[in-house]
Amino acid sequence: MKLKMVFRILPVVLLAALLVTSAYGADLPIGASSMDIPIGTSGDMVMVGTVEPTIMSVTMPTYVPFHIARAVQGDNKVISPRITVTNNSSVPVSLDVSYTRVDLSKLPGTTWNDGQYVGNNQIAIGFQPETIANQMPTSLAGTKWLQANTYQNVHVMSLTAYGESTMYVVGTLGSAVPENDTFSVIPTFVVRQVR
Amino acid sequence: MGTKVKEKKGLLLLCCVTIVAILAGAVFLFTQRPPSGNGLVLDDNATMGTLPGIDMEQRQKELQQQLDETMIAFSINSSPVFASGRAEGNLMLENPENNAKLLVVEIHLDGTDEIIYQSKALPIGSYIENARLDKVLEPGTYPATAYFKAYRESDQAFVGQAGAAITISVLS
Repeated sequence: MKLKMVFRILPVVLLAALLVTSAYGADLPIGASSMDIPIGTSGDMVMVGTVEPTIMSVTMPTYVPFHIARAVQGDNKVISPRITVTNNSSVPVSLDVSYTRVDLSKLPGTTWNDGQYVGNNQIAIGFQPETIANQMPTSLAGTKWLQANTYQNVHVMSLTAYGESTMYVVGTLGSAVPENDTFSVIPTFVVRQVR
Repeated sequence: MGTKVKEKKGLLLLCCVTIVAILAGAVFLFTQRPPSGNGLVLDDNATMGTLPGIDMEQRQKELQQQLDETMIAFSINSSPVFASGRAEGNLMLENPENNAKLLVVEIHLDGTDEIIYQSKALPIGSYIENARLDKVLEPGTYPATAYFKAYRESDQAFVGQAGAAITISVLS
């Protein structure tokens, strides 16, 4: 008798449960992460997109040593290392010199020039991109000249995504600049995303 | 009998001394003999080899080695966003494993050059994902430059610095 009663009530309970579940699914609020869409009805699916930040990732020098000598053949009198900058990020970047600290105190009477045509007591230093692989430039054409002890934005290099580029220090000096002493030129490189 | 042995020993000793003296004299005469030809004497102060600094390739190699030691790698978010002036923002600073240097990051506002953030030293192979600025900024957009100052790990000597231009956004 009891078993019969159970079999009569069970279908009613199951039917009620089914209706309640469908109603709950249809009433899901906007922004819910998932929802049931009953067959034969329509429903809104929310798509959430996140904008990933752009990461600049580069490998570059913090200090550039070089030598300058009148004995070097050609207009360029600088012996420079090969300066390679690598862009490890997925966006193109450019490399600028934002400031150049120059100290000529050990070269008495010597002054700075920010161009190719120097006076007898002047020195000029800049950067030039590599045009022939592994060869220092001999001319000064196309040089980006550095200005001493002042804020500037000298663009020296552009790099594609995951690309690399190479440049050299170039420069010249006047005939009366004393030899056998050191001077320092400390450019601050700043990398920026090309937008 | 004893006298004869003594005499023999004395004779032997005399011979040895004479031979040594002759050899020493020969060596002295050999080293002091005048050189053949024009009589030139080689300078004791001369060092065998090429004068340093004359070989441009060698000099460039030395400069290259110095430059390579100062190379640094770093990563940074080019447009970090701060929900408010006091909130943390996604700076995403990284000192990659291949760097071999400690990095200290300073962020300066362009124009005023005011320092608005300074990290402590980032160990090699570490990163800072989010950080709070040292100065509370009003809502707005700020062009700034992040300077990565590199220090040698062994003795913490300053190696040099490189910068990255970024744009900071403060939302509220």
